[in-house]
Amino acid sequence: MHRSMSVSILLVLLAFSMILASCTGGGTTPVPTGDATPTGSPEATATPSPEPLQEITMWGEWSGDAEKQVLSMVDRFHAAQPSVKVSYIVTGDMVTKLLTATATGQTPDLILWDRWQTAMYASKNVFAPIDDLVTRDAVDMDQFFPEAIRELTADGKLYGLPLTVDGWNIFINRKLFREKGLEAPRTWDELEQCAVALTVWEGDKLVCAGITMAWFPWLFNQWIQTAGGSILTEDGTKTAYNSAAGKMVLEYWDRLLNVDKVYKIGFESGLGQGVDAFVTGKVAMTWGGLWSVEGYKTYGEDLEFELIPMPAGPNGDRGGFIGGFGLVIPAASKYKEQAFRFMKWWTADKETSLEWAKVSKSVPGNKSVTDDPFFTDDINFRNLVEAMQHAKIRPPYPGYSSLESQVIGANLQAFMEGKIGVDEVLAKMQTQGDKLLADYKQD
Amino acid sequence: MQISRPGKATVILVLSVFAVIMALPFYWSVLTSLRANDDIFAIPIRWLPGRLTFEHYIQAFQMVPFARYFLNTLQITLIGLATNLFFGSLAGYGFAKLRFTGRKTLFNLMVSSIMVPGVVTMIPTFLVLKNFPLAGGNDLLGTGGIGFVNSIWGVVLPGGVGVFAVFFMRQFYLSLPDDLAESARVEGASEIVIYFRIYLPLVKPALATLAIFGFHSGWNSFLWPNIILNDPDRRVLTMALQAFSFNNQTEYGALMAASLFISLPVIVVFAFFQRYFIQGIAFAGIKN
Amino acid sequence: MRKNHIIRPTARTARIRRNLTGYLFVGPALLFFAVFVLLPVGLAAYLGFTNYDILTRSDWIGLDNYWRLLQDEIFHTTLANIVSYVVLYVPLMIFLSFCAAILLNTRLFGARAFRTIYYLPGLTSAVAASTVWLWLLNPEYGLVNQILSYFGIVGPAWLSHSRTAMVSIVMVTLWSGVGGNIVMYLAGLQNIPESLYESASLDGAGPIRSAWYITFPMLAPTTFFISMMLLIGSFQLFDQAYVLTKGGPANSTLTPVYLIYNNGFAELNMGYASAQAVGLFFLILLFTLVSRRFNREVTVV
Repeated sequence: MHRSMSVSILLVLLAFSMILASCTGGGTTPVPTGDATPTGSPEATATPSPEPLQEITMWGEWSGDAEKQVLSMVDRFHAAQPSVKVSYIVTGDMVTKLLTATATGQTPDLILWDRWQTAMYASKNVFAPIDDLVTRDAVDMDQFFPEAIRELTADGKLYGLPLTVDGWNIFINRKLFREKGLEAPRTWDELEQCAVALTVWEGDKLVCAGITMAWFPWLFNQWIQTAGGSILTEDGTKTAYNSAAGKMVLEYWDRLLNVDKVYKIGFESGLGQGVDAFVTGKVAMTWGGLWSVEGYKTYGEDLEFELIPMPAGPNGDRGGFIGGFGLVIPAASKYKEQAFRFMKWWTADKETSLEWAKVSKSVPGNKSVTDDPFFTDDINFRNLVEAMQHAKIRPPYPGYSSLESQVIGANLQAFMEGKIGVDEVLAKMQTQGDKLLADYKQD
Repeated sequence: MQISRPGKATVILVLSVFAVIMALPFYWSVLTSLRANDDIFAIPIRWLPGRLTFEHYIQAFQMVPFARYFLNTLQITLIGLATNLFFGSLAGYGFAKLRFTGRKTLFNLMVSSIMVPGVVTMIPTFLVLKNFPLAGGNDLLGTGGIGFVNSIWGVVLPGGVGVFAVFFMRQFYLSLPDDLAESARVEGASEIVIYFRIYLPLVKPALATLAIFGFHSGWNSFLWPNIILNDPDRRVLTMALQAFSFNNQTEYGALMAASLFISLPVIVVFAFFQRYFIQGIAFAGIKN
Repeated sequence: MRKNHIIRPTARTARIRRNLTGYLFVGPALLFFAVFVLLPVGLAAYLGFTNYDILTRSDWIGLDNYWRLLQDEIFHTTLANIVSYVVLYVPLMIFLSFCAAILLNTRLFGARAFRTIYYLPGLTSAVAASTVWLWLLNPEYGLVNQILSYFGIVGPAWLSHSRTAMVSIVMVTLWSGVGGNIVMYLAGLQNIPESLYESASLDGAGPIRSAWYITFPMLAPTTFFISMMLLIGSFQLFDQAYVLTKGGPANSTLTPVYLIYNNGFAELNMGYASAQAVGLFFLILLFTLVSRRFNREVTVV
């Protein structure tokens, strides 16, 4: 198609460009890959050393403080391996940008990649598999969180190495817990008891919500895991949530919302994008991950908080969600070798991983470092590492993100508004979900 | 229009109430940009300033090379503005006042094209820019180079003459009477002369309006510059705002400081061109 | 006489001359339009018949995407959502901006400041706007419900209930867009001769009567333009619905363009997304034609 498209584009363009050129006296700019662009050719920067200096380009969405963290790692790498120079370019709206770039072969050499869409892009040959390089350099794959590796694998091929892990867990307001003499909840029952005890009503007015329920519809995946169920069947072709486990979750939510009344729909929306409802003590428990920690520290002077893992279900089942960033190499990169060298240095080296964790205040994809005091001495890190042991990645199947937002999220919102009952909503979600997955499977 | 004195008071009251609602979020962003982090959130929102600080402005300026981005943005905006005003007005006049074959069809085609959502034309437009013959190292067949990708022309050209501009100017020319040029035509003046001498001076309010909108949208565009420009040195101001909001965290103070700084030129342009809306432009006296 | 006879062009050459002049004026704009609008739109329409995924394939699959479109419940929901938005938003916007422009066009104390203030929402950062609006609409602490409570009304959780969420979006988009439309009306008002009002007021017409019988008909071309742009633009609503409600609750504020973006870029289903866009195009076209007819009747009256 690209051929036929090009031809049709051409006919019109040809005429136009001539007019444009004559009007503006060469309105076309010279090739912009000149001086400032970091993708210069190897000859341009060659020095007569045994290995010529090679520049590679890395794209990522991390900006602001996170950009500084990335750049400090890049500096360390330059000191360790002077033959490769990495240019980090902050790239907004990565998905759109990557797609347009790939469609025309303008990709960078390395991408700081939100892992969850790896399988989809790998199946379209956007990324280069790195199995050969991993085998050649004998990279120890057991040092990484296995779920993170699974997220970077598609059709049996590995496409990258994990940089960070994170997930949706619960933040509790320690001060409020202390005042009520409560301990951090470990199970559904304890969570319910805590939420009831922490909720404060003044007549019809909710003053403090026990727990934020606004995000429950999007956290259904991890709730159903702790109830012993799952969202999809093993092969990812059908939904599996219209089950006893699904019913158990919804009945539990219904009890929290309508019997225990620990929350009111829409309560914290507008109280500062969910940040300050928790910061100002309007909700006692909320959802988030390590990414929330800096915000709480910045905006909550007196806030004492703790990150706790997703509580266990009635039958002791654990569950959770693991996501995070990794490094991947676009298939169109000319300098895969150099890109891989940087990737390996950053993720597969124990010392560097620890350094990275300290710089970025995150849990690295390299789990072998998590027994370091840096993690074990900090309650939030310790709890997150524990949560990561039980957490699962998002199902890596086409259509899943649409399923989550348009079918699961939307129907469960209607359920929480009380517009539809437990059995009906699960049945409806099953019908719509199976149809949506079938539609995507056809493509 | 003449209004009685008590009528005037009522009008001012109504306008003031609405003005408060219109300005509230802007006022909040000013406050936020001047407050220490610990004071930014409170329930209910505090509307009085309290303790103020300029730390967010300093932080914003340290994080982003505003001067360079400012020049880039100015360049892109002004080129787009010039082409839109000139060619948009020209074409608007043509569609409104001249009779030629295919006038209606062409105009309807133009207007209906904007009914196609931009999200699906993004990739095709990108392919057009990439395969543009003789641009950016391309040969006559549009291959071999990168076309207008990573060039400011790639940002400017797709919106070079917007349908909005043509449509808007046409409506304005339509509201002017046809017989203004009668005597000039009798004297044998060419259409070009008629356009520049007679009609163009009368549409100053419309051109000023179009200039405001063009400046505003060029200055605030993010999506397309972000797709086209790879080189950090070519970035525009809106791309700088990303530095303050990332991965569910937002540096509210610095973000507000930076957005206010960025929107300053648009406010200035608005204030300047505003005088063209004020009653009393010569044309208002012309007999119908 | 004789001279005149020689240079008087025949009907045919007159037409050619007329056409040439016309194309001279609209030519540059048409050229830009053909290359950067028509060509991409044509390509997008073509892609609607393929399984284009941006990266690997674009096979002709005939009408498959369109069959799928007919059975796509979620797409139908978004169309229903956007229609209910448009029929509320467009008339309200025209009414509000017309009234405000008339008031701002009087020689009032501070009219200049008001004009600037009314334009401010367009300049306010989206984050600030959504933060403040979310707060204004908060069920417990928001200003809107507090005011309602003075009248003994228990306000809803505006953005969190599927019944009120779209109404809230209408409010917020009216707020953010009214300034631009006021400016267009103000520009249009400059073309109305003062003498018309003078004679009307001699005939004893009050300000409201002359606004309705003189200003509104005189501004018909501006109103036509504004309503066309509003119709076309509001059918493509995306940003604000996304920022304020993420399409929820229960898909009640999910819009077609959000779905198209999601299909094209998140699910790499650009072929199907293009078909959805074509579907939306015809809906917009239908509404535009209907409103054109309506506009014409109003203008004639």
